[in-house]
Amino acid sequence: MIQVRNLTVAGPGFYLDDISFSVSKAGYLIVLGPSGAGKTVLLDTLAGLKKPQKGRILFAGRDITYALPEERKIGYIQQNLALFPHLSIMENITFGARPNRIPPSRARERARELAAFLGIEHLLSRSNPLTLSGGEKQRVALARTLLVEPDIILMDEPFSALDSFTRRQLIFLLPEIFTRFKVTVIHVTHDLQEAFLLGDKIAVLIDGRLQQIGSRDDIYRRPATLEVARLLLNRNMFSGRVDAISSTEIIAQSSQGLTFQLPVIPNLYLGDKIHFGINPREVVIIRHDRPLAPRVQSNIFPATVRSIFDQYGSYLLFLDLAGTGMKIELELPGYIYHDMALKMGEQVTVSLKKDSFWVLPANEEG
Amino acid sequence: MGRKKIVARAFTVAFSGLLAMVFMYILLLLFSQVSYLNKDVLVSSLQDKEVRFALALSLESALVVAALALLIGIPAGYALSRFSVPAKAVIDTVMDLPVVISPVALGAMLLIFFNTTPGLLFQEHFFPVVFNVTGIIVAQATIVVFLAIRLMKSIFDAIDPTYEMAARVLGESKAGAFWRVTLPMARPGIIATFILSWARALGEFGATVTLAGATRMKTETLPIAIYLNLSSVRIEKAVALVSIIVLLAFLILLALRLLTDKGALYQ
Repeated sequence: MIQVRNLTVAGPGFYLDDISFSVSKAGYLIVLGPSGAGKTVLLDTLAGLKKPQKGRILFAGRDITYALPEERKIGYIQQNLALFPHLSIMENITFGARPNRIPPSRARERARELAAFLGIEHLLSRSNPLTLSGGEKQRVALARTLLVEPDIILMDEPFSALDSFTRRQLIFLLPEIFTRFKVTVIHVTHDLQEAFLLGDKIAVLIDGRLQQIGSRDDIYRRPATLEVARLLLNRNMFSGRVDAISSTEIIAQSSQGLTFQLPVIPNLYLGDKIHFGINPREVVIIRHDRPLAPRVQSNIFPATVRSIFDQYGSYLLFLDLAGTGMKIELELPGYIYHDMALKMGEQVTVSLKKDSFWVLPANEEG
Repeated sequence: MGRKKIVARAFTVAFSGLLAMVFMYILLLLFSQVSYLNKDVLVSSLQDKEVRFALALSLESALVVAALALLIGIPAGYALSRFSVPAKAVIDTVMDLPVVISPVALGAMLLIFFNTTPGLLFQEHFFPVVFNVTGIIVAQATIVVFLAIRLMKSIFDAIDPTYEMAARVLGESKAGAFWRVTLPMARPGIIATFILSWARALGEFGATVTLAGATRMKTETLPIAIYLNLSSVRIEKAVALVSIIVLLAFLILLALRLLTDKGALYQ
C-alpha cells in the first residue's frame, strides 16, 4: 500500500536519512522514537507538506513523491489537531466535502454516521471547537479525516495531550475504527505502551535514521542497535568479549570480569567485542522455596537489594551484584513483590536468563 | 526586610507617578482648547462649508485608501509571511521605509517622481496627481498600503500554518485553504488593519500637502484645513477642526479596542 524508498529530507533543524519501509493495506505501522527524532518530518513528507531531497514515495503503486498534498488522498491528524476555530463542529467534520465533491446533504449524513460511531453525536450542534475536551477534539479530528475516505491515515502523537483515562478509551477505539474503514495507518509516538498496544509493525526512528523495523517481539527481544535497546528501557547493559562459542551459546566475559552465558548470534567470532543486555522485566529473583526451572539455570548471581520504587502496578528494584560493583535493575509485578516481602539490604539470588539477552557486536555502536 | 519593602514601594510609586503625569499632560492639552471652544463656535463650524468639505474629503479619501490598503495588504502580507522570499531581510526593510521616513520626504519623493518621464506619462494616460485630489489618495496610500502589509504580515504570522496544512490534506487547494481557513481566521486582524489604515490616512499631513498641495476647498483635508486656518489666524475654526479630529480618533481607538478584545483570540 505504502512504499517508501531511500527517502532523504533535510531542512533547517531537521534531517531524515535514507528511510525505507513499506506498510501493507490496512496495516498499522507505529513509528516509535524519542522527541526530535524526525517523526513529524516523516509524516509531513508523506503528506506532501515537506519536499524530500531524494527517494520515492509510492501509494498503491502510484508515485506521489512530488504530488500536492490535496492530490494524495491521505488523512493526516496533526499533533495539534488543527480543528478550525472559526467553524462549528459540523462544519469542521464536513470541511473536506467541498473539494472532494461530496454533496452537502450526503456529507452531513455521513458526518452523523461517523459521529454516532465515534460517540460524539451530542457535539454536532456545538459551535465552538475550542470548548471541547482533548478527547472530544481528537474524535472530531478523526471524523473530519474519515469523512473524505482516505486510504491512508497518518497520526502524529494522537494521545500526547490526553489524560490517561481518555487515552485508554481511544487506544482501544482506534483499531476498531481503522479495521472497519480498512485504512492503512502510520502512527507516530514516543510512548512504548502505545507502540506495543497498537503496532502490527514497529519502526524505530532515532536521530533521523530508521534503526529497526519489525514485529513487537523483534524489537523487544532483538534490538538492532544500542539506541533501540536504550529506547526500549534495556537498562541492564554490559560490554565484554567473546570467550567461547558453541552451537547453543556464547560464553562472554564482561568488562567487570563476570562470565555470562548468552544466546548465539551470527557472524560473531572468538575475541570479538560485544554489547549485551537484558530488560529489567526479564530478570528473575530465585526463590529458595521453589526449584529452578532448567531455563533459568544460567547466569546466576548473588545480589543485594539497594533500593525499591513503587511504580504503580509493578516495583522497580535496584540490586548490587555481589563483589562486582555492578548495578542491576529489575522490574517485579506487584503481587510477586508482595509475596516475596523483599526489604532493602536483603541478600537475594538473581538469574539473568540466557535467552532473554540480546547481543550486538560492539562495532554496531552508532 | 523593611528597607526592601520601602525600595519596592518607591519603585511602584515612581513608575506609576510618571504614568499619571503623562496622562495628566494629555488631559491638560485637551482642556486648554476649551477656552476657544463653545457651543456656538462648534455648531457654526459644523455648518461651515469649508469644515464640512474638509471632513467629507478626509473621510472619503481615507476610506478609499483603507480599502486599497486591504486589497494590497492582505495578499502581499500573506506572501511575505508564508512564502520563502529571497533576501527577505532586505525586502522586509525596504517595505518598512514608507512608514518610517518623514512624510514630507516621502511627499517630496512622490512630487519628484511625478515630474519625471514615467510619472508624467502616468498622469497623461491615467489621471493627474500633482496638486490634485487624486494626489491625496496617492500620497496617503503610499504610506498606508505599506503599513497594512506590515500589519497583515504579523497577523498571518500569528496564524499557525498547520490549519492550512490540515485544509490541504483534506483536499483543498492552496487558494482554497486561504479562502476557507486563513482569511476567516484573520478576520479580527483584518478589521483592525482596516481601522488603523483609515486612521493613519485620516491624520496624514506631510506627504499629502507636499504632493496634493493645500488648496482651499480643493485638496483641503482636515489636517490641511487646520494648517490653513492657523496660518490665517482663525484660531476658533482651527480648534473646532482639532476637536473633530480628537473625537474621530477617540471613536476609532475605542472601536478598535472593542473589536480586538472580542475577537483576535484564535490561538
